[in-house]
Amino acid sequence: MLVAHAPVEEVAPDALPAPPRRRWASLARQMPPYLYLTPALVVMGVWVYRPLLLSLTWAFYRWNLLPTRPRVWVGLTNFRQVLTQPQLWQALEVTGLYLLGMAVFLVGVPVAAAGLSEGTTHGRGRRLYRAAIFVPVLVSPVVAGTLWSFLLAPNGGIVDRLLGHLGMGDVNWLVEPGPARAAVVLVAGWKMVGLAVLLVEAGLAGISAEYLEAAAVDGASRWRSFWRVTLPLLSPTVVLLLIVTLLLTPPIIFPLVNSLTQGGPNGATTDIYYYVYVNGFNSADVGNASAAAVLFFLAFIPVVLGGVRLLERLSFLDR
Amino acid sequence: MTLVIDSRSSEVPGPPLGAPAPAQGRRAQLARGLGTGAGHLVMASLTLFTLGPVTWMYLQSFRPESELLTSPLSFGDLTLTNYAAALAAFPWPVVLANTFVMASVITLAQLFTGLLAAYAFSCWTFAGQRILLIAFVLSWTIPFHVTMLPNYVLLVRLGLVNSIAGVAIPQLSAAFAVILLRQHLMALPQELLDAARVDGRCSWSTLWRVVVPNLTPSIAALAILLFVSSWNEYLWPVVVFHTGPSVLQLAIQGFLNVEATDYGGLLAASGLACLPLLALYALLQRRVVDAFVHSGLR
Repeated sequence: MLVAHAPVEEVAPDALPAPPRRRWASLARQMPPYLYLTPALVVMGVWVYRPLLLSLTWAFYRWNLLPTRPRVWVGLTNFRQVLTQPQLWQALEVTGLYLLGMAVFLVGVPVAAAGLSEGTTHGRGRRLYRAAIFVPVLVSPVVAGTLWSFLLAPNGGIVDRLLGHLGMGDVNWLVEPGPARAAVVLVAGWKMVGLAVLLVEAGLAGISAEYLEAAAVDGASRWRSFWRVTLPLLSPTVVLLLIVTLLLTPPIIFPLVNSLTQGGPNGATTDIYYYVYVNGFNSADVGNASAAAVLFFLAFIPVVLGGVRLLERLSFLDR
Repeated sequence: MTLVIDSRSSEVPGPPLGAPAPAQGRRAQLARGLGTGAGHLVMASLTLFTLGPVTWMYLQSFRPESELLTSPLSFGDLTLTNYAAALAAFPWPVVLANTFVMASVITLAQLFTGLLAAYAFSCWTFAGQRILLIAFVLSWTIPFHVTMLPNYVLLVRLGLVNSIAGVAIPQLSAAFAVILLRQHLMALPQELLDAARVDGRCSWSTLWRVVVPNLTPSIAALAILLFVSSWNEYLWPVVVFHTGPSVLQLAIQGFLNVEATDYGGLLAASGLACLPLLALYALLQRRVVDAFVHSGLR
């Protein structure tokens, strides 16, 4: 498309002040993509970037949200406070643990399940399995939180009883730091694993059976053909799953932390999203929360740039 | 048991079916049998893990309150009192209608704005393209609560508090939909678009007559995800609605907060809240799964 514009300007070198009609025509030719983008851009501008910029300015003030109290300019104090709080580093560590845990459920489990069941379960059975595994995706976070707080209840909750039979009972799931983190990841993984299984299924459907036939002809075992044929061909799906993990983990985990542990015990399940939330609204320290949010946003930029590069390469592979 | 390795290699006479010694054949058969067993074992345990809690919720919701905590695994007398309590908790028809309207409007709008934006990204090369794409991806990562407060202030000024419009308007476009649809559009065969271009240009009619029909499975899969997530949404509606009947997740949470000790009622209400989506899913199950598998979401 760019090529189309260039000659237009070269054709009329003598008409230095370009005839208005032609300039309009060239402008009109460049308009369409922006017009198509307008609705999405307007919504994003008004409801995401406008409030983000407002938050940016709040990060330099001390303010507790009350309209009657004046905002006090404090410069970079909020940023300094945020960066020196031990809770921030713990929240970052917890965020990392959640991402790792969710990668197990959203990448490891579906790929392993695909590897173990590919070619062994099929037709009606496979369809039924897939359909059943997808069900928790439909369950709302509110209901999932309630349901799992029943299941994980100490002294008689069903998980406690089942583990009791294995000699691992008496875990106070939502009260001890380690188990509480595990519980949050377990519930989030339970909710999302079905989506990942379907995405892997979609990836497998795109792999020509000829490759596996060829491997079978060469006498490769299923194990070998999975590692040498299926997995490499599935790599775009694995990349997609990694991106999905990165993008979906925080919004999926947030409401679950809110209903299961409220970030406790002692901040052990507070990830960076929940940290910003608690600081901003429970302690009504808008400046601090905004500063944390800004730092978080800045830290995410390189990750997103990497993600965009991956997205571009993915679509290239698709072609 | 039929085995896929057999069926796949049936056209090609290969070593597995060829003339290996009988002992070897038996061993291969055993290995394949074990493989099938392992496959079913893995899928069955995943199914138990995902479906177990939901099944437990429905079974328990029919049990009398007094037995719920004492014996969470046995199923004795059945009762409907829990459902009576759940149904009396809030005006279900109004709440369900509200939720349905909200989720439908949001889903359709996000598909429409997403398609237009994705079409712009994949059909033209224009100044600022990369920056705008990055802006969309970044907007997805901004935590909800960073934008929540300023957005609420704007909503008050627009007079949209306590309304479905107030929930829907800030969500008429979703970065997730834009990004995903862009991936699908980029994956369309270039020849298809070239052939459909009028005077070598992308046009409004190309979008609706060529692109959309070719993306139907992907659009269906995305529509399901968008509908489910707006149906289940809690965080933004709780900011928008203060009084009166609102949307489903809010009503359920309200019931949970008020009746925190009525475990039977809680389970019944939770079960009822899941029912509409589960029923829809049961109806469309085959198409839902196919939509994903054939969407080329990869």
